[in-house]
Amino acid sequence: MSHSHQVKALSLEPSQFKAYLSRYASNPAFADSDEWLFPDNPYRRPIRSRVLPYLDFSRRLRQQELLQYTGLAANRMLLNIYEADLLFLPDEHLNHAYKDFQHFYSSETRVLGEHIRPILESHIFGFLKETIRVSGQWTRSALREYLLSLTAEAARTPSVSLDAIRKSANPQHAARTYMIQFAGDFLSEASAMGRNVLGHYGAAQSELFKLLIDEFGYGVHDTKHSTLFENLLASLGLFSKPHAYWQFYLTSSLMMNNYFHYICRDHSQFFKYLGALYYTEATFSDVCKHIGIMLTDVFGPEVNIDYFSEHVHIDQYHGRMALDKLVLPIVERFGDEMIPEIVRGFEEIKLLSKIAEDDFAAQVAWSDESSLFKQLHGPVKAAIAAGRIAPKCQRFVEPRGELSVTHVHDGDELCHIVSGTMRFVTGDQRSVLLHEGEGTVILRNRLHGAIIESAECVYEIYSVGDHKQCLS
Amino acid sequence: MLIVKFDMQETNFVVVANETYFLLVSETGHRMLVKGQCSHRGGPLHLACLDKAGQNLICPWHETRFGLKRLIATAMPMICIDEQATALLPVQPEAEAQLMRRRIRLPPVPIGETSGQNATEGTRKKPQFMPVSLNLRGHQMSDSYD
Repeated sequence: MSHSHQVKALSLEPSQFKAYLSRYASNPAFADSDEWLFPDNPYRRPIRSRVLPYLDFSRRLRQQELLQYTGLAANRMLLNIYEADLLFLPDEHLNHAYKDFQHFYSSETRVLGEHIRPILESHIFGFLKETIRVSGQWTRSALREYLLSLTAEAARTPSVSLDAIRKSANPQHAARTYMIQFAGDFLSEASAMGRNVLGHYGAAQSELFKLLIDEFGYGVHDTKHSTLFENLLASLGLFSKPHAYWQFYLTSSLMMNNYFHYICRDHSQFFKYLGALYYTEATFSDVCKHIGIMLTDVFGPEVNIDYFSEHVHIDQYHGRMALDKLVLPIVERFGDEMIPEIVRGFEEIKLLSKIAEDDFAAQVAWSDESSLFKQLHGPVKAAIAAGRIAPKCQRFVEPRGELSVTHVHDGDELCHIVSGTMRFVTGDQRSVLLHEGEGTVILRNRLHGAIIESAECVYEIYSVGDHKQCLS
Repeated sequence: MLIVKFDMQETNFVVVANETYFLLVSETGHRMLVKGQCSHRGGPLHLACLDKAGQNLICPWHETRFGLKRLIATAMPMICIDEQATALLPVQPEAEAQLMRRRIRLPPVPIGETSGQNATEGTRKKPQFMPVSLNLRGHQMSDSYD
């Protein structure tokens, strides 16, 4: 029965998809917000619903297109769809969030999500199949050698993200932004893994369960890894509940989180998951060591880095366990034919990790240089006024308090304030004020939002494509 | 085992420890790194041609027929990410690999169901239910999400 239902969902006509998407997006829990943060309401997850019907999710994004607007929109929706399987409850009272709770977990939301999910998954993750090819006759020993070698190489490779934080004009802000990116995943850590511990598949099932209970602190709440991460966030002065920073997740951070749900929810991708699991378990120990050092360097000894210290220790074991107790025994049991899929999972998460590192570094640089991009408003606006370029222009009139939920553009844009005042936001607690006659260049794919701070603000958005062309 | 990395735009031929390997391309663009020497007298298989049935390579030295299926079944383990390849070769890790670009005479070869082998991605038959055939291109993209 479930099979026929699934096939039916996958054969949606374009008009049906659009209809389901519109209904899904009309969920009040996903509506635009007049708040930047949601400190204790894990169901409030704006997805800029009004724009969605105009977007094309039908084709697979290429790797260089992943950070475009449809990539962000699809990833936000996918995480909402996947996490409707998980239980989130606020810390204090539910009354203020009870309607959102009901909307988020409603049957209608879940059914609609299931209808649109395959197309969104194909839009985001379809490129992996074309980009990564595994060939040849793999053996168990070749696999082992390959995994160990590549893991050692990954450990030697400097982290682009940590480098970006250390070189940032504001390392503390950059480091907090980094932790915010992790929060989407770490506060419900190992939930995707949990999808694979049920069922019946022999000794490997028990080995995976051991990894899971380690992540869950063996039922002792204070040692649960997500609790350790909450403590870390609190020590940095950040809200520590799931998705408080929903609007500040980068597209690639959502994609990393979604990837594990994507391959764990679909059990036909279990062998791929083993490769991805090994990569994360085997490399995370070293990553955690460097993150712990960075956090202490940037914030001093007061910062609580127990989360990362714990992983330095435990993931040394998890890496070995994943290889010797899960991956290799599974190959022994099911044959070398499974190896290409395992290698594929390893390579897919490795590639997504690199994309995420580069995305984060670009966001830090963009946010750091807000004043520079504000200054560039002048020459770019002059180029438009002189007719050197003739970009499409849209004019908006918005009242005080109007909040533009964070988003990205597919090309560079110029924001020009005709009258009034806008606070242009490039990250949590990071913004630049734009007054009449001022503006800023918005780089393609960079996450930003805005809020109006005058009685009314009239502003124009010019789609300039590549702002550097205006400067030559 | 030796792990060799190369750009497939620049390298299609590898020599290591007196063995040669070349990139075999399938009709669907799938690339495999295969042994380059004929088992008869070591003739250069990258200069072979394909028989009419598309099932055998004909070695240029003695016109020995070398089964395509067999060649593919012994392909080196390899991962390609765009044009970047990482291959594992069955030699000592300290061996030195020479990376070359040479003329490959073999045309793209048919693989998959005809080859009968199934341990390589792209040749394995899988049910495909992905919704890629959906055509939503009729809908206009919006550029108004400022």
